[in-house]
Amino acid sequence: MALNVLVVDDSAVMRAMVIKTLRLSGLPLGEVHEASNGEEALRQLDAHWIDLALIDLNMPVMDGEALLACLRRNPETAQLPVIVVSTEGSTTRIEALRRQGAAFVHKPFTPEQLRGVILEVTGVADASDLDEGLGPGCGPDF
Amino acid sequence: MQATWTRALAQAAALTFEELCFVVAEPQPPTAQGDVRADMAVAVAFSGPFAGVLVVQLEQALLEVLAANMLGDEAPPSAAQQEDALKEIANVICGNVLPRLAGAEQVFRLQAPRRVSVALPGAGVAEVVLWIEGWPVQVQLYAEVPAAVEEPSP
Ligand SMILES: [Mg+2]
Repeated sequence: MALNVLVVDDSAVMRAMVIKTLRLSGLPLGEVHEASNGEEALRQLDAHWIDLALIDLNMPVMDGEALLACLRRNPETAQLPVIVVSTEGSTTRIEALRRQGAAFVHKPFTPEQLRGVILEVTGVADASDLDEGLGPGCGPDF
Repeated sequence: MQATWTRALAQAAALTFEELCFVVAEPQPPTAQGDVRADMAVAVAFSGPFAGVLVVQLEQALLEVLAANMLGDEAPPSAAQQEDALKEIANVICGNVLPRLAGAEQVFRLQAPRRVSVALPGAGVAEVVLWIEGWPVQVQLYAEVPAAVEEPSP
């Protein structure tokens, strides 16, 4: 089944980098939606079925922490797999995000690091069609 | 203190250029170079255990290379994409240098990066020039230096 993904970051260039990594990850991708802040993300979540959200923290209008709190309060998105992709370096804040059920990828990331967390969170690491990804070490071992 | 801050700034900047822009940033120019100049500057203001601003500035020609690397497209990046790329570079350097200076448990708030006019060298509390493919990039940190890390007066 193809996964619909929402990529939330105020940097259009960063969204493009994340989407490129998603496309190379071997993940069965469905629709890819974008938002440049938390409010836009909530509108996208209202309008589309989303299976995975990758969200930045530092954004204008509504930041990633506020967005994550909104998602967890809403029964429809309380269990949505979320990966926070941020330059945040504070262990205090990262722990708080993990307690809300978000995985974390620190910027700058290598494509392999982001791919690894995406596969972990979506649980598709065992799919047999993933060995044409970003190189050795990521696909299944036969 | 200043040497520690300068080293932290250089490390955070070099890591960012390597992993975000896929280029090697070196502290020394590979060959003799002219003046360090810049066409575009971006600033990220932050607050937390101490407040300040991080400024990244560089030449247009280098920014085109960095933005093209980040996007990985055939088409040359637009002016808007170049500015966006520089803003994200500054955001990532800022987020990476602050824990190195204040400790990993400390919480800082970063504001959205914005265009600023090119800053004079020598005005920040820490400043580095790195060289990427022959072009210089300057990273400056302006901060209200916390008393706890200030050097004792002689
Ligand atoms: Mg951001």
